[in-house]
Amino acid sequence: MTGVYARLGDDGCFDWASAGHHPPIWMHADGKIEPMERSSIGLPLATMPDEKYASVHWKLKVGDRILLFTDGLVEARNRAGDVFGRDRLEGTVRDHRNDSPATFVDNLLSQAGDHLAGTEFEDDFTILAIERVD
Amino acid sequence: MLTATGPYFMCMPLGDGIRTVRFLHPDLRRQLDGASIKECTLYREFADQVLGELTSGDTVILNFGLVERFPTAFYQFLMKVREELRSRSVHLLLCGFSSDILEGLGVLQAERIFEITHTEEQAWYKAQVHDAVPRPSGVPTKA
Repeated sequence: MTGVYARLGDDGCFDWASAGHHPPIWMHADGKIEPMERSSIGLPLATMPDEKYASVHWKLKVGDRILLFTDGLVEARNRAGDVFGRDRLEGTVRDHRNDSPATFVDNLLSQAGDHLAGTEFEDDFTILAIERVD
Repeated sequence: MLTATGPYFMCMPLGDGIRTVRFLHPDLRRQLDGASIKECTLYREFADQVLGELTSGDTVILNFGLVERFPTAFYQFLMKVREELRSRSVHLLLCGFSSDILEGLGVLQAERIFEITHTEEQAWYKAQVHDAVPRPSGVPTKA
């Protein structure tokens, strides 16, 4: 089993740890996306009894966004066998950065659906968008 | 030199104590379906045709060169195979993953748990170093 544990604190503090799960995407208000920190990902839960999970600390500014998601989204595959993928997801996140978070998630789903071009999602997925507003 | 072939994989010797298991289908999701991974068709076939043949000190190379779909259940399959092989002191190597699958394995930190090479030839060389056995003729050079 994989998972991300995240904690929102005061003044835009966002701490997270990953157990074999895609790290969150951090998009700054200007559209810049932080590169993925693969080194901070730990093993899936219950893989090793003594596994230690590193915490990553981010400090969000007003207008910054976080996207948490499961692999059913990035591994969605179209008829040609191409997966939606993290790069395409980051591009979509950037393209829709001016949308409200709710519209943003709707548009993300719409883009993933366009990529599938008529095929069905093979796996369930969860998307959570967070924006610092003040 | 073919030792076992079934509908889902082919198991061949690559030298003394080294076997390669080549999965033969791009999509084995149905064969990975089961109440538990030990009960799925793929694992039962693997247990029947591969596990029983192994002895301590052997090496098994799993070649994913033809596999296009890698659901979570395939990772569970690998963890179960790893557990079984470790209990028999058998060395396990994985090879031939597509870039899409490698990306997913990277997020799972699979390289910390498994030895992974790009090609079967690289896996064979690793096995050779590990087992110090002579290279036989007819070893394939592509994953």
